[in-house]
Amino acid sequence: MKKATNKRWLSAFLAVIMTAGTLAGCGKAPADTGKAEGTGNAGTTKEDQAQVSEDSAKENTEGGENTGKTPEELLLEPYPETVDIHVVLQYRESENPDTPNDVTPETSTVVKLLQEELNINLVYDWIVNADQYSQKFGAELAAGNVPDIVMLSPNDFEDLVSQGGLLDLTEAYETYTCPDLENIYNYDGKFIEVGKKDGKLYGLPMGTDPAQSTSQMYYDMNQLKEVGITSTDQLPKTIEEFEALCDKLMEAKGGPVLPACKNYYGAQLGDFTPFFHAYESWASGWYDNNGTLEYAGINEKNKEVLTKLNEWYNKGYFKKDFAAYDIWAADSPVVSDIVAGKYAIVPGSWWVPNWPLNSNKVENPEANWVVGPNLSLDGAQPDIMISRYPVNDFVGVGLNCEHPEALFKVIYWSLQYTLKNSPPEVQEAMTEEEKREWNSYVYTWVPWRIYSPTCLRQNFEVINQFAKEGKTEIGIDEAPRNNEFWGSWSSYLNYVKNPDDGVAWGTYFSRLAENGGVDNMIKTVESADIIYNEVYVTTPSMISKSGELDKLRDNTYISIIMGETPISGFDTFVEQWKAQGGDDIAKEVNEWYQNK
Amino acid sequence: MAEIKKEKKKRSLYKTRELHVMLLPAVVFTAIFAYLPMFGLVMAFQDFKPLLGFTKSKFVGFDQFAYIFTMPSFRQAFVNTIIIAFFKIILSIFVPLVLSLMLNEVVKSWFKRSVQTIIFIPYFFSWAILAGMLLEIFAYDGIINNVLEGFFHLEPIAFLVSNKYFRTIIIASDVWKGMGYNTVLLLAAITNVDAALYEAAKVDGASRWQQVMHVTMPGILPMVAVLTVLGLGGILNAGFEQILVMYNPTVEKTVDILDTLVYRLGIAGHQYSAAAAMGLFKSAVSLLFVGISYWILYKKSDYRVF
Amino acid sequence: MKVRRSTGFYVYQVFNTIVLALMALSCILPILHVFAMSLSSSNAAMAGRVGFVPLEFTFTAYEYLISKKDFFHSVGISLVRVLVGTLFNMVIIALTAYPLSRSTIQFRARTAYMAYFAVTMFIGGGLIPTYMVIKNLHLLDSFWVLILPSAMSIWNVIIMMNFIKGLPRAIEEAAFVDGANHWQTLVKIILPMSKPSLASLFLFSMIGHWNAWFDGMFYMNNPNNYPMATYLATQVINNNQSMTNMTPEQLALLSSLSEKTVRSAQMFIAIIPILIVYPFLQKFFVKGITVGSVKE
Repeated sequence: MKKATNKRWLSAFLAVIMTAGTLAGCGKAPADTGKAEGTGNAGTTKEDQAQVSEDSAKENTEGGENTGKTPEELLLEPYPETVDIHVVLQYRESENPDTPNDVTPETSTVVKLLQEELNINLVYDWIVNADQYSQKFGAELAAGNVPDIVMLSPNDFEDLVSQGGLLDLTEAYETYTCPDLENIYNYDGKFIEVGKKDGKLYGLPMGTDPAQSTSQMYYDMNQLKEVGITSTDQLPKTIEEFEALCDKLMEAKGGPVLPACKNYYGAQLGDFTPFFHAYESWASGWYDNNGTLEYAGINEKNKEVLTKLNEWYNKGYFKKDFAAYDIWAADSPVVSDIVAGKYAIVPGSWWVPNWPLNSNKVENPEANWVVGPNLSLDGAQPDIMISRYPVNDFVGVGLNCEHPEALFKVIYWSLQYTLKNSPPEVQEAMTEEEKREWNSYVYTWVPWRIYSPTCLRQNFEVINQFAKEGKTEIGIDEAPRNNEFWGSWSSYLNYVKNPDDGVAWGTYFSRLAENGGVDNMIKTVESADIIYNEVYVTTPSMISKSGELDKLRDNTYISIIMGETPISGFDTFVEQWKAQGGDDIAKEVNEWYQNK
Repeated sequence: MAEIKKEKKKRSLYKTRELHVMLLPAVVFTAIFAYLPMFGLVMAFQDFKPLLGFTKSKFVGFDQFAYIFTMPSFRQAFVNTIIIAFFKIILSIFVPLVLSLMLNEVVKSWFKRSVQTIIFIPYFFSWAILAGMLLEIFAYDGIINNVLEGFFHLEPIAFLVSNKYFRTIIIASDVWKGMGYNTVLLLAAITNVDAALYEAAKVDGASRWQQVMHVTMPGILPMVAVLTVLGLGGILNAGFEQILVMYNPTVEKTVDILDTLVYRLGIAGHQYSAAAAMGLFKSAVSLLFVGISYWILYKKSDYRVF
Repeated sequence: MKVRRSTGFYVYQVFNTIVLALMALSCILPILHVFAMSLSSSNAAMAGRVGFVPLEFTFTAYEYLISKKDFFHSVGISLVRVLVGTLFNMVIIALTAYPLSRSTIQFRARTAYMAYFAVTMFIGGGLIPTYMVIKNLHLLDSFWVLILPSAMSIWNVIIMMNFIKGLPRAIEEAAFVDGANHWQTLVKIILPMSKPSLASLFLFSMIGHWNAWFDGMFYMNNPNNYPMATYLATQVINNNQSMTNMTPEQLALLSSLSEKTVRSAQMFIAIIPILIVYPFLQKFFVKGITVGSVKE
């Protein structure tokens, strides 16, 4: 099973290691450094046990200040009494054959070690499939249950805060803040603001590098030979040249020549985003126009790109029924076609070589994917729009939790644990069973993340530097302290060893290669004029109305591209958009923007 | 006089006591699992926030109803729901009726049994699975278009994004998936028709066709009536799961239904109250449809479905 | 007895056979496709090359399934659920349909009872209130949550009731004259005469329990308690989140989306029990139980 191998590598590389088999060395896990039981009040007896712990936590802090303990030391101090932390889980059954059969969230190593090292007992109240999560969560809320540590989508976060469901974390944040943690939720010193409402911190934002929303063009040089393109210099820079190339491909191989799907914008794979960008147009996002935020999706300028896409649709560049396919559906036919090598051109994000182009290369080893220039009208780098702060999730603490600081402890612990156990030498020392748990998707079974938004750029620079110096072994101290580093390092070593392996190529080319995914992403944001999507909050009207408004926009755009609606339909859409709540959102967003 | 009445009442109660006892489990289950949750319908008149619960959420009267009726997608979804449900109800009775009559005419019992078994198979599959296959079949480069092109030399049709054809595909595939179910019910009814009636008809020299029309059809009419009225009860359930997995933005104009709208409201928009209001509206409309059909049936043929 | 058959009859038979055979064919192809898929190589399945014959024949998917305990665990839960749940349904259907099939003269409260039940066909409390009721009954995460809420299905009762109404009254009246009470009438007269209907309802109820997935997912707090249908549903549901900003770990999850061949194997295993039981039940409604044992 080729695919299984492929997965194993992927996960080996990516594992954000929350869990692993019981390691020989775990007795000396980071907790040891903070094992001092000098909380000073361990013997204090009070009737209300919860009160005890809460006080002890506070005194910890004070004690910490008195004795000069660093936040790092405080974070790894175990609780004197076992603390139950209730969590819930969105679950996706892993079909990865590497996941050990008997490992369930409750029995995973992370749960065991948290108990041993921090005296935190992680209790899974309920576990549900990701699709039913929202409903189950709502029903449990109505029954009065908010989990102690909970990961929320931006919409859910906004909604829960407005109902008073989350604790104020401001104080705990100030006490426990340290560079390792800041790297995760406050990488630029401002990111943490996203989680604040009226000056109080309600959730830690889990985000990505804004540059990750850029899109690029991947070309298979092997297939392009057929139409006379033999060097990367010949790859198109302008829309005009691009169109000429597509025409040639149409002639040589017949259509369709470009992958397309109903997620036509922002899908990061097989979508029209690069073409929108070429016209300096955007289907969504709020940009600052002389101090006022305007919605990019209703901008007149979008007519140009839509007209062009309609032209391409008529020429047969895309499947006639492309709008019926969801790129994110399980077994999406669009992805299958890419893997099968039906397209010589694939638009997408930095990670596309990592998946699904790697599968394509496994199937067709002669495939030679490269990143081409970003398209534009005149051949120069167009302005790009990226989000000011892309937030995927918030991690908050439910109102019934007595230990808000536990959130910081578990995140910090997870990061230390990961950093300690992921270097290649430690990995090699693991038993088969431990490796299996480590390499499976068990790490997604906790409601918090330790991903640092800056890690892609950091690892790109650091590893390429090491490569230049010819290093093949590095010490722990030389490594950056982000959870992705050791995975990237191993993938570099792996690629050096097996440059012909499709999977090794995929991980290397996406992250580390010169002119690869991440490299081009960095170059793009550094060379382009950037227009920011300024809105990173969710306003009340957005929660209720943006869903239907987005639908209206998508239906109109796709209908124009397919020629069902004439381009004049765009003006009608703008009217409708405003009337159906767009104006309300614009008002709320601008109010927020002025008072920010 | 009063005493006699009392006595009579007592006796009637005594005679039916067993019947009351028989009904007890059903009454209890219905009370707990159907009536108790109905208190939750107050949320249709609230601005329901889960954390505040039913007691503390704000009452807003009929605001939620006013809100859903002014939603632009509501009208479209309502019309689509009625159209899709109407055809699904009619066809999902008509097709099995024809099938069961045809099956009843089959002489070879192995063939009859096999066909009956096989047409039930699609019913076992979930929509998530069937949808994938149907989308493959009806794709622009799928089997149907290959056949149209190869045998009839027609231009391929982009069925999946066509507002002309997609609704028909939705209706037809639903009827196809469910036809085994009603066929079984109707066959059960056909086999239950008094054999003596056929004998009598034969004696009178009735042809096979006449037997079907004058013996079989009247015999299974009650079952057809029941299925129709029950179907009408679901007039506003046009098949949520199927449409959710099969539709796409381009054909939303013709296949977006109330349930998909409620889903988007409730899940994506957290508008529990609006979703509940829409549910209540659906209940009212279904009740109306069933009430009317029940009454018509009762007036016309003196037959009570319930 | 020799029946005279016209040419028209034969023409009709041929036509009949062809139409029915085509219908049957359209229904059997999907299962052949699933079956072929489950026995094909993962690459062939991914590339969409598999039709109705396995390509690059392999048992990998089944081998993998056999190594996975949790799938068979969920099948076990489903089997118990079908047994217990169908039993509950059938008992309640019989107990409820019989009194409701009495005429109002015989049973005056019938109309009130019927109204009481019928209301629930149209009005439901919705998901959240139902959840709260079930939570307060401490049924969450319990096996019984799969049985009790769906124990009483008014739709099936109505179908059964109408069937009983259609039975000839003569036998039953004779029983009453002989001094039988309602229990005896139900068990000795009505039920034996209702076999076709009972068999259909038994089948529906069984399939309903076998295929029900939502209750398992929503009311069970732990995937270990999922019945098979819920387990399967967790595999095929679309990954519908918008991936505007993919972190590497989301990427990892993406490529862990289940294998098409494994899913096909699971789907195929899932319908086997019903395919086995169905022909046995079929006997009852195809042959039919001659009701006209009392000539009028």
